[in-house]
Amino acid sequence: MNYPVWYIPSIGGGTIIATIAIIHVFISHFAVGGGFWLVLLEGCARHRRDRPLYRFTRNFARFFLFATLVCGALTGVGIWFAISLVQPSGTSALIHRFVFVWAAEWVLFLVEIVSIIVYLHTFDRLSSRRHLAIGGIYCAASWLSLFAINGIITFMLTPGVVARQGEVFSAFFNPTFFPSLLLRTCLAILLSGLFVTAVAAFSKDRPLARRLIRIAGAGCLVALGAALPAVFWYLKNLPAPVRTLVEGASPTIVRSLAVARPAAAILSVGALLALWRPGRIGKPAAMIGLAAGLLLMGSFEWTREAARRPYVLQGSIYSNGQRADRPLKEPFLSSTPWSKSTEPGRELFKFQCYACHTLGGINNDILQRTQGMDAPALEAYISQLHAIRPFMPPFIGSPDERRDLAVWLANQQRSGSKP
Amino acid sequence: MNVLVPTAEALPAGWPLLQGLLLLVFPLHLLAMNGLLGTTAVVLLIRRRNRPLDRALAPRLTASLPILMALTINLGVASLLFSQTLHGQFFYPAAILMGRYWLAIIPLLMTAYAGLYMLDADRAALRIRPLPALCLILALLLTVPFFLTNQQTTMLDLTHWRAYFIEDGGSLLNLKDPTVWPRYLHFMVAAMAVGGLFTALTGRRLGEHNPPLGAYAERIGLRLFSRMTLLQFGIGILFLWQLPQPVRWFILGGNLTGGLLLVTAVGIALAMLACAVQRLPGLCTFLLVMQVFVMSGLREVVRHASLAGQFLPADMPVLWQNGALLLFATVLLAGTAVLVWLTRQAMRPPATAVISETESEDDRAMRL
Repeated sequence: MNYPVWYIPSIGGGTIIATIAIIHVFISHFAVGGGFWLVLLEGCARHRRDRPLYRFTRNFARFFLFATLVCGALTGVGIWFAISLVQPSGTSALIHRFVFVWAAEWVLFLVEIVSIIVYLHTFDRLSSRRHLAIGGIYCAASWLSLFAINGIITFMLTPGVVARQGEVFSAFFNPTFFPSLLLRTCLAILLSGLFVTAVAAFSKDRPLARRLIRIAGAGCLVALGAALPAVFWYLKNLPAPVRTLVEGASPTIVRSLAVARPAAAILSVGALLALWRPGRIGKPAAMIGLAAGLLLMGSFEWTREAARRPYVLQGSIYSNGQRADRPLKEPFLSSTPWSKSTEPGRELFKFQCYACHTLGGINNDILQRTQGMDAPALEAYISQLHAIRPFMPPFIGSPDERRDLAVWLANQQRSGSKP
Repeated sequence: MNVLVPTAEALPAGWPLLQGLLLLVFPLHLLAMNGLLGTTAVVLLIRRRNRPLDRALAPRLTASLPILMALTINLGVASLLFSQTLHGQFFYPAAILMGRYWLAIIPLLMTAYAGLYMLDADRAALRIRPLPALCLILALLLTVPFFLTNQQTTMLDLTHWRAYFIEDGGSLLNLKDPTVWPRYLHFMVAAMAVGGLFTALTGRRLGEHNPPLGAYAERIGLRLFSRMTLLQFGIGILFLWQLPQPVRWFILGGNLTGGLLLVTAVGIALAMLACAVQRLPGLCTFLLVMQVFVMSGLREVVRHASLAGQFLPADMPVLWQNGALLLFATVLLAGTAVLVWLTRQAMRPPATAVISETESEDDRAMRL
């Protein structure tokens, strides 16, 4: 990698990306599904001349705009900022391959922003037909935005037959594009339905809240039902090594799925309860539903990220930013201009391990993972790393450099274990 | 060639096209950002004075701030995208060297954005004390461009890159570079001028319904605009003086494009001053838009002169992505048409004419 590494060993770059990304995917899927709910509720209110529902929709639109623009838009930019710092080579490769897709997504983002602002500010000013059309434009722009980003994200996991740099569409419509799009659309409807439920649960108008919770519950149930075949379709289209990781070879994915199952169960039971006895869904239940939705979404994203390992761009760039075509025995530090020659062990950790491991930090701490191993054991382990743990990239470097890393890690173990 | 400069990736289209796209979106970002920052400062100033006309004007201006913020962010995204495509090999190392500050931009913007919405929503309730809130928002908004100025100058100052070997934790600002402060001041004074002009334009619009308020807004806005434009001459000369000698020479006659752009910029600035004195905010706006485009072009000339010897646009490998480019052009055209339609809807007179004194707002909405 010929980029410098932003080194904060106690926190780790991965933790920073994950923290921003989890908030962003939660809000951004709400932003996609929320437009659908706004148009549906406003249409219902106008059709039935239901004034309380109309007022609720207007207030919900205000909350929606605040949440999606302030948190959603800026955390989206935040992910980009964070990946530029932590994975510059992967980010650069993606940007150069998909710059015009991203640019098209930027236009859609602009349409989203303008349409939702105009939608909110013309609530009581325009005719029903025009106002609903503006809502419809927001829905279309936000879903197309998801369509564009989905192609880039799925390319990172399943590039398929790796297309040449200039061929964008074969890379974009890769094997998991459509299952992922269906799954994300379902998740968007589900999460925004949970937000509708949460806002309704806080309403003082209980009859209105019950009606809304019932409608939102029905939507969530449909979304959950449609998500299930999408998950199987997604799994079916994964290449064999990735599927092996998802089916249990990756401890991270095992932990992640252990969270997803109860979350999905809570949401299914909650949606049925919302349909059957909407009055039972109060503020605590609505908050539990939102938390379960967040866990389900987080678990899906965590699984997808973990399934991509040992790559950040499947088949071409490893998760530590090293190019996959680099010879494994090649001396590493002498061909890495941003490394210092004075501390080879530290530099090797920084350039090859730190992207996923912290040093005494909270996430994937390398001192915990290598506890009890001395320098010779570590050296032997490092040489077989990718064979023992297929989700880890191989060590790149000469035998001397491998020894330097092992000795440095063993020294860190000793200094880290001191009281 | 400096060994620390990473290998550049193949460009997805020819350099002139991508550079043209950057020069299209970056000035628009600057206009929105300057409007946001300058208008926030104007709101703070008139909130402090708290005279009756100030009290009437402040909420009108505050209502525009969240919209300006949304546009600033959106247009900033496009600028970053094309800048990273063109200069990624300089862009990423510069951001990594100051990673802590670079990432801090996001929470700073988020807090300022949330504050602006709350301030706007709180007009009637008055639960938020506007002065402390505005001071905080303005401080945050002033901090973000300071970090961006550091990142942009780090991109050009490759000697500063070696500091990474002493400090790799992302806390390296480029404060020893003599161009940082003049460059930052240059942007901030420009922002205050644009804020003044935005206030004057708001006054022109308000004048249709409330002539005294409109005239007042126009007067204070144009006064701020002309003073800041005058001050900009001094800051501009200071900035020019602090540029490295070869770069300075490049735009003072060594390069035809650079020299022409500089002369045009000075001419437009003088014309803007004359228009401000003549109270012609519409013409001032036209000239200002031209000025921002010209200055953005000059900025690119300075960038190329600063990176001379490190890369040549003509040497960059290109792998044309014609299909994707066509897709973008189509989306851009369709998106522009939709944006025009949306803007027209926002400008339409309300269809909810009051037909009865007893009719509520909800009833009117239902009638539509």
